[in-house]
Amino acid sequence: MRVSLLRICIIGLVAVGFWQCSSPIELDYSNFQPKLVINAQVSADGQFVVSVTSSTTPVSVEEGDVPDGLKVTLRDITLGINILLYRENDLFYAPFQVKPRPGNEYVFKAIAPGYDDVEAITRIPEQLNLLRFEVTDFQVKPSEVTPLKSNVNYNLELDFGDQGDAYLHLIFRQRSTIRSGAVGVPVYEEIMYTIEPEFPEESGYIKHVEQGILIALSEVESNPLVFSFVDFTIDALFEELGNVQVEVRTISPEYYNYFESLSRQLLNSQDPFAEPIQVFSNVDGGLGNFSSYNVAIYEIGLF
Amino acid sequence: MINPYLQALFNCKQGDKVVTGLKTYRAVIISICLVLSFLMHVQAQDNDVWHVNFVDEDLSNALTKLSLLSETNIIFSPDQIGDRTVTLSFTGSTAEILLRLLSETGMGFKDRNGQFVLYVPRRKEARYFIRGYVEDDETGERLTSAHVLETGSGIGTSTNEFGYFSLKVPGKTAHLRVSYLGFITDTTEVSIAGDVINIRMQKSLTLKEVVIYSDKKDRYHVVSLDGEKIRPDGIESAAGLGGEFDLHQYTVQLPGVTTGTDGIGGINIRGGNNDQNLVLMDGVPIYNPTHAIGVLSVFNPYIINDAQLSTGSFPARYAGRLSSVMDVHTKEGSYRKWGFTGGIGTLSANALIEGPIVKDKVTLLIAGRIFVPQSFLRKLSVNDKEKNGVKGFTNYTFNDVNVKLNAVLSSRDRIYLSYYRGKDTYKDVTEQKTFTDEVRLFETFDKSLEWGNSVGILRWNHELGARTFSNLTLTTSQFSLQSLDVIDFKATVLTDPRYTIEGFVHREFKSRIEDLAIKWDVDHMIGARTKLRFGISMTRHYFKPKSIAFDDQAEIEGFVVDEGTIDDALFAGLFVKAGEYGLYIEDDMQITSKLRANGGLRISAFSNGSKTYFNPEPRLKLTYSVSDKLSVEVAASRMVQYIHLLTSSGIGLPTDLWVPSSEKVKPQTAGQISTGAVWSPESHLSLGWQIYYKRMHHLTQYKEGASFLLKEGAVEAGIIDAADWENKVVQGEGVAYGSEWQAKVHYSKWDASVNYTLSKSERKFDKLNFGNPFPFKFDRRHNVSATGSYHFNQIITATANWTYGSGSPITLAESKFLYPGSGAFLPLAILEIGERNGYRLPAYHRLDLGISATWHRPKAQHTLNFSLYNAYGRRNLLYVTLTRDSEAQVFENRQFSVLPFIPSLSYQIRL
Repeated sequence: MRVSLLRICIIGLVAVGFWQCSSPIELDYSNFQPKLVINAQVSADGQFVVSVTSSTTPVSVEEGDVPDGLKVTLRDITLGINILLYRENDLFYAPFQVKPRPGNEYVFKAIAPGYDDVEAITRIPEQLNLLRFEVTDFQVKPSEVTPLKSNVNYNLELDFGDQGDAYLHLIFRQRSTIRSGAVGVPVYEEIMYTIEPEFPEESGYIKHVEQGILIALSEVESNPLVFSFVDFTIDALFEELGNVQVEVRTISPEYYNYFESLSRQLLNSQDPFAEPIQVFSNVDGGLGNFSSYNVAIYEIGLF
Repeated sequence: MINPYLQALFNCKQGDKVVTGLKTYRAVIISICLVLSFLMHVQAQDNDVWHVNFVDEDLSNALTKLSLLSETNIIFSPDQIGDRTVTLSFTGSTAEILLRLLSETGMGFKDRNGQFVLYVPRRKEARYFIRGYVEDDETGERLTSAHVLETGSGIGTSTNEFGYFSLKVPGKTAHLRVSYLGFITDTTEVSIAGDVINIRMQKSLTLKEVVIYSDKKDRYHVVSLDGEKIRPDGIESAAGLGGEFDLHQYTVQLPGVTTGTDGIGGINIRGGNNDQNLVLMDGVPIYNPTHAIGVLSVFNPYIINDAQLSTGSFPARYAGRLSSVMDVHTKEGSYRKWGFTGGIGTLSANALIEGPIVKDKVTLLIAGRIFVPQSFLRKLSVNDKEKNGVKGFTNYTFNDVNVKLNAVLSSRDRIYLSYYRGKDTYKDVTEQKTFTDEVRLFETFDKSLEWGNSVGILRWNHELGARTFSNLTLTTSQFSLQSLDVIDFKATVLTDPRYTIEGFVHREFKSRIEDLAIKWDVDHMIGARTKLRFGISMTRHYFKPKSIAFDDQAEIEGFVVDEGTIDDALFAGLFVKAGEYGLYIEDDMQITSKLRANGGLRISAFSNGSKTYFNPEPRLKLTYSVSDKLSVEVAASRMVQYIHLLTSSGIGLPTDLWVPSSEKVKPQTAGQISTGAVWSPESHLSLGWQIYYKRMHHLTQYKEGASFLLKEGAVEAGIIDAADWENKVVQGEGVAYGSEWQAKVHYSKWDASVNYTLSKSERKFDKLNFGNPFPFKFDRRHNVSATGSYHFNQIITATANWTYGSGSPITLAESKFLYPGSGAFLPLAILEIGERNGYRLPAYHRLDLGISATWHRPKAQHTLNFSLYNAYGRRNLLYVTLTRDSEAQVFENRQFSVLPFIPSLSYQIRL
């Protein structure tokens, strides 16, 4: 809607000014200095993949490539050990011999000829305990729009109690069993897919650019956290609605700030009048993000 | 016997002596005079007769010459004399000449052992009140801020916004000298008969003056840089867009005022947001003071009587905004005869009719204005759409109307009833057909946007006594905005005509703020030098911001949704109401002959039902007249603003929303101190200077990327009401400081003025720009405006205005990088946005030229104006934006500019 309104206003300006002039403008990027861009998250379950690319001018048609002569290091500051990284295609992987532990601090460094050296630090957060996990207001109603289908509505309540301020990334999935195959010869198949809750704006939740919800508990007033799953449509092929699963990532502040700002920039990218959103970075001398999280998965039946 | 030395010096002789106007440095002459007189031990020769002839002679020079001529000591202090001049041709004794020379000054003299000692007699205590109205003799229109001086006592005052004055004078008879720009200054002898008097002033037939009038004979009249009176009669020859005077276009040239490109975005005073300007139409706030998104003022130039812009020293009677007060008084209408003023220009056509329904008792004024080139624009858009293979049109127009009825009920009572309504309308309709081998698709896109203000005023002026004037006002002020975006479609599958799909999408946005207010203001003269004002006000605000989106599949809260219509019941319960209250007292006091103070205190309160705020708002302004030519002032004020304008665009689009303070969102406050001086070294030259420092707290702004219109995520069917706006805003601090300079020159043939502002304004929000300070969006370091006009004769005047502003800040992307994504998520291009407002657009500058001819016929006055807006066609940038092709992930910088070179022709007739 806003885009339409703004179009109206832009055209209104045309009318007032008899004609407006819109034309491409060449800004001077001759002094542009590319930077190294880090994208990496250390997980307490041992996952670590990092991409290192270079930034380009905003109007460049080229995408940032992996710089020639790139060297990277990852060090566990707490344990005082360097972690070996190996490269596969354009990504670096860390085969952790010892799983990263909460509280451990890591530093990632990258150097490449022609670029400023970059460095970033993160500390793996303690996992927040989920004290209560409950399905409420579960309803299945025949669809008023589509015959032979039903709409499923329910709320999920997650109670973390008072464990202090923390940052969360919650990813919801549904595990169901569907029936396929020929008539009389049913085949049952378990599927799992990501589901996205609805939430009011005043909730303080932020939708992650890929999946799930980002939450800063200090910005959220409600306890427990409530998520509504509205009008999930099922049909007769659903043999069993199954379980709902939530992946609770307790994330570092850098993780939250990076994805919160990045998600909002992408959501508003179509609005030419909106103030541009700065994407957070904790990479000294470069761009991107080096952050960490801890993870736990919970599951509960819908019936 | 005359000293031969003096005879040679002054070429005069005893008995028949002529003293020509000799300009000599006063102090030197006084010294020479006294020394020579002392050396010669000359006794006063009071029996001698002298002849003097002074023409515009400084009084001190004249006294010195008389002293030398008569060889008599005349002892006086230059401070007592000041800059008075005398014209006198007279023959008599020294005492007789002295009597004549001092007759206009109120000074006396005594003969002390053959020496004349001049003194200022102790003034009689003012005991009587004289009060009345100052009015235009031709129309009976009350003249606001006319200057009234009692010549005997030197005590003066100004008429209030209703042309009323009350003055304490020593005797039962007073000589009132009344002056007003464009009118003949005249002295009237009035007797204190106990009733209200009407002083009629006649228009001056000489060329109109633009300079501020300074009455040097009034000891209590001070000139201030802040709060200059703006009178269209004096500046209408200034070339503006469309060839006519426009208050908004004029205001942006004043010191301390910045704006967006071509005035778009409203005005920003001393680093304040554009919602911090209190724009008053006859005392009632106007929420959106411009037409055409900031290009033109909503005030029809024909209706303006005068306006005053205060940027730093706010009297306590003004409240509700932080940065400025633009107090516009509209005309009442003629009490004497019917008149008509009409005009047409490139942008608008205006008409005003005014006259007495009952002569000298009841007057009616009706004025209207419409946008002229709408049919031209519509035709242009039809052709443009046809070129693009679609049908439809684009149309824009605005109009406004003023109606005013004034009645004199008695010499002490007047009633005013007025109404204003202005509206801007934009509509764009496109009909599109898409035919393929398989599908036939008909689509209609109908977009419309309407916004406008309406104001109603009922006012009762009542004189409570000789000292007290009361003004009771009931008002209503509304601003509303409605946006519709409707898409109808019908698709037929040619291969199987049974499959025909019809539907619509309806998106609507409504925003409305309604005020109902009552206020009572009282002017009370305590003494000859003290004027007290106090009052109380109560305002009920209704905020009604709503947004709705639905389609043919939607069922909204059980309401049946028909295509293109919305049941207003949907919106009925969705509003926020709040009350704003104020109590003030203000004292305008002449502390000494040189020091004047305007101090006051306002106690304001605001309640939205769940939260109540109280705030004291002290105000003080001190003005010290160092001499008749130089005055200095210092002012301090605290202002509170309880309502906030939320804008996602930053350029003042009418989609912006007014919202109240609440428990979460605190009222905006500002503290400002300023000091300055006005120096008029010559009668034709005036120089002004001010510096200021302002801090603002709890400034309110949308969070990055947030908008009232858009939920985070896809827009879904349903109502988005006002309930959650508090969660979309952040509050922060602001600081602004700067220096403003003004020079005005006025000669009989030409006028010129130059304004320069050096300023800086910053913002700091914890949740914006990572908590770092950043420049305010309209922070222009340098602002210059130069205006000149040349009067070839009584008919033709040429004008030129040049405006320059440093580039305004803008936020730009510095680089781009890829977010790689994970799993099936595709990589996305992310922009590295630089510091907020960390870049600057190119400087803004523009030259406007105009030439106008005004000629009089027995029953009509005609004016023809030709102007060139942006004469050298400077392409000033409105903004630069980086546009993204979401599919190709390719970006392009684009620049937008408006209002290029525009020639205008306008004609006006006054009957």
